[in-house]
This record gives sequence, C-alpha cells and structure tokens, in this order.
Amino acid sequence: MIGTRFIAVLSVVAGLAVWELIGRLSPPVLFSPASAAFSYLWHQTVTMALPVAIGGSLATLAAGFALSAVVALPVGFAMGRVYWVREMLHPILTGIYAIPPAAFIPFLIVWFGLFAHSRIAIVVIMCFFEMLTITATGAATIDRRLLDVARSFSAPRVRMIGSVLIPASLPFLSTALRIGLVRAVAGVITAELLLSPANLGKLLLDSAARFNTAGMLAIIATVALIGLAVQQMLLWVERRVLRWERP
Amino acid sequence: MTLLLRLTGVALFLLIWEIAGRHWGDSLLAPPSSVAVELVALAGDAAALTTIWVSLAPALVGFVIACCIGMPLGALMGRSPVWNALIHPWVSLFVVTSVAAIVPILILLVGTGWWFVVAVVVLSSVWYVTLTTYQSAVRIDRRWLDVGRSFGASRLQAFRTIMLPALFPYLLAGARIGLVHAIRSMVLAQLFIVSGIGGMLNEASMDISTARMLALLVAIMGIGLLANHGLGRLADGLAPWQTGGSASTPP
Repeated sequence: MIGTRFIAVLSVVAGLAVWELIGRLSPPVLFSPASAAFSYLWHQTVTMALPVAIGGSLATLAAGFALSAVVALPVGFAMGRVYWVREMLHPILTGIYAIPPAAFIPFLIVWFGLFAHSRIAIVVIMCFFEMLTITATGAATIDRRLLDVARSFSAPRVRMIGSVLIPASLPFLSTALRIGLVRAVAGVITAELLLSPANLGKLLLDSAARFNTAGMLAIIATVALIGLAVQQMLLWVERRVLRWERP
Repeated sequence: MTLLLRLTGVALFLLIWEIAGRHWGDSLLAPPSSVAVELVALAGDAAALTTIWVSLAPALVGFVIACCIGMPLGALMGRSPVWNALIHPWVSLFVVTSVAAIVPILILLVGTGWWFVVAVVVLSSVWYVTLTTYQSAVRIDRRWLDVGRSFGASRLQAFRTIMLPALFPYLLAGARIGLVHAIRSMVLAQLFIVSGIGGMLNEASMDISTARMLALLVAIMGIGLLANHGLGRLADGLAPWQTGGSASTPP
C-alpha cells in the first residue's frame, strides 16, 4: 500500500518535472514551465485578483448546484419509486439528456441574457440531468427486502422513511451530488468563458489575449484542482456519514 | 400500459410546450408546431445537412482515437497496480477538469481548424473510456485467470480467451459513455470557434424566432439518440452473453 502511494506521489512529481522541462524548451508563446505558472498564481493571489475570481466562481457554482439539486433529487426519487411518474417522464428525459448541455447555451442567452442569471442557468442545465438519472436509478434499486422487513414488523410510515428509506438512499444520493458537483464546476467555467467573460473565465481569457501561456496553464490547473477538491470533499463526507457502506 | 403512459407523457409535454409557446410567442419559446415546420425545412436544406455531417466527422475521428488510447490504458491500469499508481492520479485529475478550460490554450496550440475539434473531443472523452475500462478490468474474477494458468495458457492466450471476452461488454459500455461525451464536446468546441453545428446554433440565435434554434436542438437530440442506440444494438449483437448492454447507462 505504501509502495503504490509512493509511486503515485512520484508520478505527480515526475509530471510536474516534465511540464517544467517542456515549458523551458518550447517558446513561451506556446507553452510555459510550471514555475512560471506558479509565479503567476502567486502574483494574482497577492493582488487579490485570484481569490476574488475564485469566490465569484464558487458563488455561481453554489447557486446553480443548489437550485439543481433541490429539484433533481425529489423528482428523481419520485421517478425511481412511482411507476407512472417514471414511465411518463422517461421518454422526455431520455430525449433531453441526449442533447449536449452546451447546445442550450444560445437558447439560455435568449432567456437570461449574458450575465449572472445566465451563468447560473448553464450550471443548472449542466448538472441537473446527471443528478436526476442517478437518483432515479438508485431509488428504483432500493432493496425490496429492507422495506418488506420493516413492513412485516408493522413499522409506522414515519419510522419506515426515517430508519429504512433514508439510510438506504444516502449512498446513491451522495453519488448523485458528487457527480453533479463535478459537472457543475465544468458548467461554471464553460459559462464564464462563453458568455461575457467573468471571474476565472475572465482571468483565463485575459491571459489568452496576451499570449500569456503561463497564466492560462495556471488557471487551468486551478480549475482542475477546484474540481478535484470538491469531489474529494464530498467523498470525505460520504465516508464519514456512510460508515456502514464500506469497511 | 407502459406504452400508453409513455405516450401520455410525451403528449402532455408537447401540449404544455405548445401552450407555453403560444403564451410567450416565437421570440422566447417557439411552440412545437412551428418547430416542426422548421425541422421539415431543415431536413430539406441540403447545405445544412452537409454542415451537420461535416461537423460530425471530427467527433467520430476523435472518438475513435479516444477509444484506441483509453481502452488499452484502462486495461493496463486494471491489471497492473504499478501502472495504475503511476497513471491514476493524472486520469482522475483530468476527468474532473472541464474541457472548456483547456479550449483557449488549445486554440493557441492547434488553431481553430478541423483538428481543434478532434483535440477537444479526444481530451474530453478519453478519460471516461479509460476509467470505465479500468473499473471492469479490476473486477475480472481472479479465478478465471487462475484456471487459465492451471491449464498452462500463455499470457497472450489468457488475454485473448479470458480477458477480452470478460472485458468486451464493458469496453462497449465505456465506448458509449465516451461517445456521449464526444458529441457533447464537439458541440462545445464548435460553439467556441463558431463553425459547424455550433455555428448554425449561433446563427439561429440571431433570428427573432427561436423556432430554428429549437429545431436544431431536436436534430442534435436525434443524432445523440441514434448514436447511443446504435452502440447499444452493437453491444447486444456482438456480446450476446451479456444482456442489458442497451439499458440507458448514465455516465
């Protein structure tokens, strides 16, 4: 176990070294070394530009993700547990799910304009259907025997929901939230680049306009780390809450 | 009964859309009746069909490249802990990175031509193909490989007769997830450089009526459904020992 972890760390270090090497060898207009990207990040942090941009992006993320989850989880649950809801919604959702979320962007611009509202709408579209499908699939596959046992012992409805249905649903609900959140991060950066540039997207496009590849790589790395961080955070919460799921 | 409910669902959806469309008017939400007219016009428009076809080509090329890289990589990661430890951190970093963030630097590196779309498609779908293949390769029953070894199968034989049949349905599942992401990122890439389907969407959004834009969305939906369904059929035909391949799997 220590061996594989050591290799993983080694791999990350080696990757950074390769990045540095390629960056030093190639002209700065095309690619920059890791050290240049770090110094850009440091500079932007000192001038407060980066923290403000990250804050703005995270606010959009939170708003869109919360709106999406509040609708997607109950509807997904209803789809998984109630036969006629599932069958009525299934064809429509399969159809809408087949449309790439980005294709909605011109339509959303017509409705919500180019600024904050539209950005939130894009985040909602990007993560809504993912969370809906996962919740519906999960709710449909809750072990019947668990519910039957509770019914055999004539558990009251409240008790049944509180001590059987909710614990049985937590694993797939947390999966839905985690995957939805990663999609939402992608939605935020897409919106900030394709609409009027804002926050992290603006920093990225400003760097692009100046052929500042160090800045671009630094922002890409920041976006990647934000995605990884939100995912790890939810995984950590999952492991704490769902002790019975995994050893 | 199921069919009846499904048809009712679709009919209700179209009815609500029609009423809402009439209420808000064409400029905000064109009702299905006018979208259908646009769709017929689109189907008769040879130039538009050519554009759609031409813009699908880089998505397919990118998808094939992603499969050629992702499947062997995933199988390697699944069977070798050392390679897994080396590669996994990078794959899990890139799979959460939005491909949109990489677009600006890709434009600098490869320009905005045909290969730009291919690059975006590869960079967004290869990680999903890799991870799906990896997850199934990890779960191959050890005992099957042990039986092979007991009977003196060579490494190549074990790979060809045990690993491949066991992996096959999952390879197709990975391919499907990859294809979904390939089509998504194709549209995203074309929106950035305003060409192909993305360009058509952009142009349609300049219209006062939203009918053409919604017709394009329906057309894209048709392409997505067709691609997904086609791969599902292929899975059932090629690997009949594994059923359920055509169930709609969320990525």
